Amino acid sequence: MKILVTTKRVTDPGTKIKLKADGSGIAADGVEFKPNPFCENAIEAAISLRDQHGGEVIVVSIGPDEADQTIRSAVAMGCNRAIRIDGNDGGLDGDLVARALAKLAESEQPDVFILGKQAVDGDSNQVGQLMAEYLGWPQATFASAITVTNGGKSAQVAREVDGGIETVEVDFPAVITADLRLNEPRFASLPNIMKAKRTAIEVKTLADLGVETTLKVRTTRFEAPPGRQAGKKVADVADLVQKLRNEAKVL
Amino acid sequence: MADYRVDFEDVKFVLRDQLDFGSITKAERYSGFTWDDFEAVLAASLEFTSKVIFPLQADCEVERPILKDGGVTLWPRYHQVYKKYNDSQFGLLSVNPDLGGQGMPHTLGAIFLEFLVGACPSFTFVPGLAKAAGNVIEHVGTPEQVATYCTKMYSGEWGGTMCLTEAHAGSAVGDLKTRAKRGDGHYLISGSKIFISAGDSDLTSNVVHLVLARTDDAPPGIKGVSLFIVPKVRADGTFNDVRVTALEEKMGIHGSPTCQLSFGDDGDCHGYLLGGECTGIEHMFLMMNEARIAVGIQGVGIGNYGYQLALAYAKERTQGVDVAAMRDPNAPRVAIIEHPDVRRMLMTMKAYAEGLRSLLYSTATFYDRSLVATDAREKQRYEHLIEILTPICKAYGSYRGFDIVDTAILIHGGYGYCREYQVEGLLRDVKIAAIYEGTNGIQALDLLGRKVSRQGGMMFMTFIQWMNEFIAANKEHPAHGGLVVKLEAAKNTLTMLTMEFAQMNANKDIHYPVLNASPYLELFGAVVLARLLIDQAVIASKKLEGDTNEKERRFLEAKKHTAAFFVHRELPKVDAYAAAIRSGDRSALDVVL
Repeated sequence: MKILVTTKRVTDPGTKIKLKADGSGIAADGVEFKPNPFCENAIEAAISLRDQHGGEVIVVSIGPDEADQTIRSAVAMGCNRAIRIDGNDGGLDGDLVARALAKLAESEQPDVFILGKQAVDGDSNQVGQLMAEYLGWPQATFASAITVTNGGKSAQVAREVDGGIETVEVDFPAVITADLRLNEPRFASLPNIMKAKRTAIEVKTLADLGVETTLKVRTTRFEAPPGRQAGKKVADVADLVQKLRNEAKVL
Repeated sequence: MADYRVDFEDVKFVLRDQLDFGSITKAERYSGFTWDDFEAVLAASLEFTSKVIFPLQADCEVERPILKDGGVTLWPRYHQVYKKYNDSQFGLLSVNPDLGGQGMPHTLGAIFLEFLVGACPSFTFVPGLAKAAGNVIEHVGTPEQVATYCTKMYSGEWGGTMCLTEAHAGSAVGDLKTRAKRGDGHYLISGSKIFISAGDSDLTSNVVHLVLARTDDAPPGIKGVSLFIVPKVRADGTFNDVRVTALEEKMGIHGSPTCQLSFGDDGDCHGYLLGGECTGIEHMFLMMNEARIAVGIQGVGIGNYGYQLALAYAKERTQGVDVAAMRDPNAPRVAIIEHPDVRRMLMTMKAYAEGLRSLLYSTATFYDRSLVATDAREKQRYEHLIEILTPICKAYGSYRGFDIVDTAILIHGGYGYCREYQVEGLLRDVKIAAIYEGTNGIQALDLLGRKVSRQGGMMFMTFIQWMNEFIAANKEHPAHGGLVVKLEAAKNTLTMLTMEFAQMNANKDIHYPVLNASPYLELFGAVVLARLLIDQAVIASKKLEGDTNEKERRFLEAKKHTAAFFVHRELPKVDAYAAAIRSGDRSALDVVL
């Protein structure tokens, strides 16, 4: 089985981000990056499918040089090859990423392309779906379990949907996006970390892939959400009812 | 439960900026690595420790090892964590590549130990003792012994122990009674040992004990002691007549099975001589330095986590008002970090936590540098510094590590005394560090009686030279020169006192110097820490001249304050200790108690 899998570096969800004064983006000063957690689920799924059924896993990310570190952590988990498509967050949107990945999928011809269901920075949740559409492949999003069926020609995927689990079967080649409960991503072992440090990352440009770089989404401004206002103390129940009726107007 | 926290910026600051450890990759032995590799491995090992090892600490406060049918059983989650630990292979960081390791510098292994021991002190014993015992076999054993034991012990498949202590032979190890009778291709071991860390567990399929015992016609005392490899299970799979007779009920480190062991109850316990007969102590001491540094690291790891917990608590806990607004009942309530006395406590903790980290990393890097030194004098210089600093790492590290956690409890107030918060558990866990691997009293004797006086004071001279070089280079420093002047005075006091001790020895006054060994070690430790902290301030000032972001600036500015705080408020203790030592007061010797 040949599996393509994505990873993305995102600002560490555990740290407080600051916006640039002019609202043009997030201040890079002192920001730390981590691999997107949903991507780690995707990588774990890809590696364990490879371990069960043989084949190879190729990890791909779109980003600047600095994204290499994130790619290496995926290699350290056990991916066989690594590709970085050179790009900067400012010049990308979900649609361009989907088109670039679709081009890569056309040339690599994997059996299955697994992605995280969304990245925890922009939370767009678009790339997997758009890419499947561009490729004309079936898609199974929000996967919480993947079982390869039909002698490696298809997969049964349990999807987390509102109110329960929906099970679908997709023929390969297919796109699957990973949800958090799909698995518990492994920690890279020390020898694999060292090996990953020495693994060459193949770099491609958007031009190499022949994708049109016009964006469909234009970012006008970043704004922090308004700060939380202080609450009010009420004297008694009558006061509470009065305020709910006259100020909040919910009664 | 609060998360596990390590100030990774400080880890990198000490290793990269203060000790320039990236430069060791210029040496042939480590030329396959880059500073980038070191940083990546440390970051990954910290992440692993926080997520996988740390949760076991809560277990260790409620679960206990169980003794059943002469063996020790640990609970299921312990087994899962142990398997993940072995799978990660971080424990093999600095192990010889021929024996399954990565061959990285020992300093990195020491830092990984700091992470581990802060996250879950008890967990470090089974892997740590196997590694330590394997290390002795690797250095002293025959090629066959190395092949039989080392790889399996390093990988965690087998455990290991160091069996020194007996009921009547603790600090006085030469009094031990365990016998080794020459047999056919092996010795027959009989006797019992107590306080054996990681003495047995079902985590591993075998436990390889290194046992100090006395051969039949051996001379009395320490010179008649030999070292034996005594596996729990022999190579042919048969039981080797080693039994756990009891589990020690301890104050802390509950997740470490500390055992009483009985060898040869049925007269059939095989031991294999390691090195020659009557060379046991010498071989044991081979690894004693490393073990003592590891104990100092226990002080660093637990102390630093105690500081992190107290710092976070002090920022979040509101209590009282600013002291200047005390008479105003409507004054806003403030976080306790705003109170001067809490700030004083936090700074004391910070200074020792970071100073100890610097001391332990320095000593660890001296070891790596001694391994790659091409110049014989340079090599000897590092060896001297290691010899002098080892008892300080062990005793000062464990004392101050305890003090830091003690202060952390105070900052938590009544909550700190309760099980709900982690600090009281850390206090019980760190206490052992002052006791084992040679009590802190023994360390003081080692420093004064052996290290300082041996070779006509050569090691001490090397140490003083290390101090003098720093003082000369920084005495005129525009910002920190004043601190250096105070350091120089304290260093001179140390030198003078050391000469006065030599005089006492010459006068055949044996008891008085010994009575003062511990205060001497305290004084010595303060001088070393002051040097390291001022060095950090000097480096911080230099870095602040370059490009820095807000977070870095805050870290570096705090370094300058930390050095000033320590020199003004802790270093004066040197004078107090010196006065006590010079008092000539013999009441402790003369009193009838």
